[in-house]
Amino acid sequence: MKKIDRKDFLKIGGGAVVGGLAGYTLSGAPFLGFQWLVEWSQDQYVPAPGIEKYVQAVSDSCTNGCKVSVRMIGNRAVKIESKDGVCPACLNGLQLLYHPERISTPMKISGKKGSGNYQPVSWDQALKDISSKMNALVNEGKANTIAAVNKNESLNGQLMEKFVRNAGSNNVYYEPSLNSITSNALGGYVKYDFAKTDFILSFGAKLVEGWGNAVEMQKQFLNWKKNNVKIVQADSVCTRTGGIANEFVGINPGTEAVLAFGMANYLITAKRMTSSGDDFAKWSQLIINKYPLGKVAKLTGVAEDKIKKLADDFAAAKNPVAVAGKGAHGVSGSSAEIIAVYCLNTLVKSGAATLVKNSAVSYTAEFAGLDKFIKEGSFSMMFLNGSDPVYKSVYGEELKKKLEKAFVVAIAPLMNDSAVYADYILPPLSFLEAETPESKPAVKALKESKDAKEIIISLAAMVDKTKNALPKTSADAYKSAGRETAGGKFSFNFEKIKADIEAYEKKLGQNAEYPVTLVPYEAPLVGDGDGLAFPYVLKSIDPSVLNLGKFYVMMNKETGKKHGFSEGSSIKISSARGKLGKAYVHLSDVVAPETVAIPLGFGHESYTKYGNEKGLNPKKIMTADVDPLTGAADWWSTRVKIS
Amino acid sequence: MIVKDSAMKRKWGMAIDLDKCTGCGACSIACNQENNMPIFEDDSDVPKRVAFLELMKVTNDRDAKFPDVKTAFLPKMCQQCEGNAVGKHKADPPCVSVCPAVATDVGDDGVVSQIWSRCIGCRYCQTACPYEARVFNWWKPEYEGSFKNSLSTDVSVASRGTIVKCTFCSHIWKRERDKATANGILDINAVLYTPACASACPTGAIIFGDLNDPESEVSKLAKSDRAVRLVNTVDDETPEKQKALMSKKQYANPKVYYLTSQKWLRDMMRFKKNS
Amino acid sequence: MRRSLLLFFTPFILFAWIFFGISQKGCQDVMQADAAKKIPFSHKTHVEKYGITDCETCHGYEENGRFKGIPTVGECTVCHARDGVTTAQDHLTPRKKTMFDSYKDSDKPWTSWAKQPDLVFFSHKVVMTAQFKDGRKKARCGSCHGDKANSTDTGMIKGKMLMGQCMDCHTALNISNACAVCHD
Repeated sequence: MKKIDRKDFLKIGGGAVVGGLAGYTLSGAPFLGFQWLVEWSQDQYVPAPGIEKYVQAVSDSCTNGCKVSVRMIGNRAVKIESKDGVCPACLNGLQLLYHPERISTPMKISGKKGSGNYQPVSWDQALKDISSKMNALVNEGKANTIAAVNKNESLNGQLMEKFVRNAGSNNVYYEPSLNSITSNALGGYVKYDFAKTDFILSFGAKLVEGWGNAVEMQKQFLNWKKNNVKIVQADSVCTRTGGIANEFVGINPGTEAVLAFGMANYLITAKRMTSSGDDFAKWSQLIINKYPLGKVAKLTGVAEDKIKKLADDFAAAKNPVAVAGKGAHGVSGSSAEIIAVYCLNTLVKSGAATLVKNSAVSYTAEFAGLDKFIKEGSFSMMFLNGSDPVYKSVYGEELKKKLEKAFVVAIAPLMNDSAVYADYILPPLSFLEAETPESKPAVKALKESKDAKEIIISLAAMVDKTKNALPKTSADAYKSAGRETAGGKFSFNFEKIKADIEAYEKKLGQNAEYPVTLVPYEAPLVGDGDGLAFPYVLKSIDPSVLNLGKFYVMMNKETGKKHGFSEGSSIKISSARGKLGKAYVHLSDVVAPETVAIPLGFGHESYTKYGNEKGLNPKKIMTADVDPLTGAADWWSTRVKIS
Repeated sequence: MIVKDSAMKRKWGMAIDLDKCTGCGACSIACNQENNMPIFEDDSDVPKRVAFLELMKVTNDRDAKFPDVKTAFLPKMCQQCEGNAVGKHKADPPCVSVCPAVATDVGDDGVVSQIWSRCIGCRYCQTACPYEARVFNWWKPEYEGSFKNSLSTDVSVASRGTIVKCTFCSHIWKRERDKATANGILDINAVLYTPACASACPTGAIIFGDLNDPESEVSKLAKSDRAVRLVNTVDDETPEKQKALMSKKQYANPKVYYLTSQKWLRDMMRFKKNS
Repeated sequence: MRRSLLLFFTPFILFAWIFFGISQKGCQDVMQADAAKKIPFSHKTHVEKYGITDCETCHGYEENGRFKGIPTVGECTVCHARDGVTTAQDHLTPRKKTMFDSYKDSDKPWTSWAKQPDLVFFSHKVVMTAQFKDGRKKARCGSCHGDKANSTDTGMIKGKMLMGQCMDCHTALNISNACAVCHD
């Protein structure tokens, strides 16, 4: 046997290595490994499979109650669809249902108010605590220090109203809405018959952007196009409603009411038209004396002839209607403006605007409205029924201080700027989990959350005074839902709004310290802020509103040049009430001269991590004059200085 | 009933009536939900935002001053370009001809497909797209916690570093096709569908259908005087030059038609010379 | 010369064999080809003894056309009744199987080997209903799943089914191979 030398050794080693590689390769392992590597590098999330089906649900995102069908994969809801065309607020229901920050159990505060520290408690304990507190207040004779703020006039809002009123308190408020402020100003909210009208004169109402009943308005919009209804939009920012209007009348900011005064003046004096409303004589006298056409033209920036032409066209139309009401979601409470616009309807005897009421909702409370209550009222117990007045009211900062001292109960699915001051947060169901007479729950309720109606009903059952006041189950509640009835008689309420009419002139005059006017506008989907907690809303925000974390306000190009601003330059806005943080300028001529338009709905403080710290909340510096009739602040336009 | 199958004859197209669009944003929400769009805490980085449908705000303040201004919204998605067949070259959209990985291709129904798992992330197609309709996943698509429950199984979640885009909800067509087959209908031409944006539009401004079918609403609208496509490369040319340019291979030839009778809106959809 | 060949090829063959063995075992482990089977099952017996020739008897569809895949215990116990006989003279009588006792009707005790990649839109129903003009089916279960009828266990098909295999069939049957036919 020959000794194994170095050469042989290499041969053996080479054979082993080559053999090993060959074996490894032939086994298919490298190919499998490569496939595995590819799959590993594409580590995407795979949604859980399931059987597809459609179930029905009834939306409660607004008071319209749209029927939707929900696409389910297994027991997960993946899409909200509807043949009738629902508004985006309803489509957001899915992201509310599965929001990772949704409150799933009753929570009790466990730190300083406003810190957002909460710990879960049982329903029994929460309801016991709340009801015993309430019983104590009622027994002490302090029932009137119990207050409630409802988000809207939906069924659970009506139940809350019944509950608190029966406990002996008159302090039931609704977040200012088109219905609530017009009800207080006119004695009923206006029911417009847009299908019958042939001429719509809108004083800044964002008719097709969510104003009023959004779903209904979309349908009416198509009818208008079909029937060649003439739409005139008077506004200081040309929004989409201005875009679809046959005629856009650009006015100076905050002069919607003045334009209405001018037109009324012309119709009364030149056309001898009269209104049937109470106090008409006194009102018309004041308007004729105070707002002659020349002055109106100067204040509004609309030529005298143009005002006359508008009024003539309006009066000549077969069934014209004048519409007030500001934003798509945000509303401002000037009753002088609402009355003046409604007066135009009575002057031409419009058949398309009637006053109605909801039998279960009374907008009369201790104070005329929510803002007045926050400003002047006091309370020791507060129910926040889905509402967020700290964010939405111009008196948010004042309300914070009052909420800190009171016992606050919030019914809210997500934390918001007001709920963060609550002692107890009770989690309601989203509409996909709720049962209605027309639909079964589409998905199983999240953990311990309960139907808001049931929460109020079970609370009422534990308070001695309200034990028998409410329906026993939420199914019964549907039977007792409010119906629309005829509204009261239209009155100009002259004595109450006299001062306000006169004040317009002063407000709109030259102001050396605050030379420009700040007005809000609403971006699609964001509205007045409710949409901002939903990521798919954030995905749709135009770069002219929010871009790379920068918050933009719109300014007329000429005005920008005059005040030394160029596209993208930073701007600081301050009013007599305070300063706003840093914003950036987007120059655009859709805004009237000497005006800054700021998007509404931004600048939340505690509205989930998606809604927080994005942009600014203009309401912090908006004027806070409370209207005597509506009790809501007339904040829509504010004199500011810019630097 | 068994209907015999046959080759795909449909050519899907879309007509968007801008005069009917109120800018409500329902199309955008529906699109995001249908297509499992990734969720980010701050989605304000607009150029890098992953969304198929962009609700563009259009104003005419380039040409007009207050108060002669107008505002409109223009839902912009992949225009599903057709391109032109010239000589031995087959018709190709601008994005398909540049893809080195065959990740994007034109389907039998004319829809430009984009298969993220084939995509190598070179972003040539994004550069080639005249409409900025393609988006790149700069970050891994994430869905915080329970948001995962709202994800549809029909659209696979792309991985980081790939291009995604609107495919006219082609997965809904496949869903409908499979449903039809289960019911015994084998003719794929019998399958009609509506993409998420079109079915969500409350005013019916988005109309979807078959451009090959002369009786379909969309092909009638596409031929109407109100129709305008986003092809501003040829818009300002003389008719002869226009014709010549429109028969070039590079001509995008999109299948999304915008309808408007507003002159200002037509003007705004073009480049203004010397601006 | 012969010695040096021997010196090279002995270790070559030895190591090739060892590495082939190790790697293949590794692959099968990764693909779980030998994973423990909780309940033994023989396709062959069921086909030959009971004459079940239609795969859809057990591997059927949901109402909406979705493929069910592996049957549930509930479907097995339709024949192997839970209160059935344990022994029978007639070997054609399905007997009660005690191994089902610990399962609910909705359980699927077998692991599914074949997983549809997330990005493929594939419907068994579509493929199985496709016909030629003369009424013959374009595809059979065996076209992709192999000769399951003769298998005596629940083991998987060797290897992954790659897109090429789909495309080969599509090409052969004159079906479009455009990406969007299957992918979204």
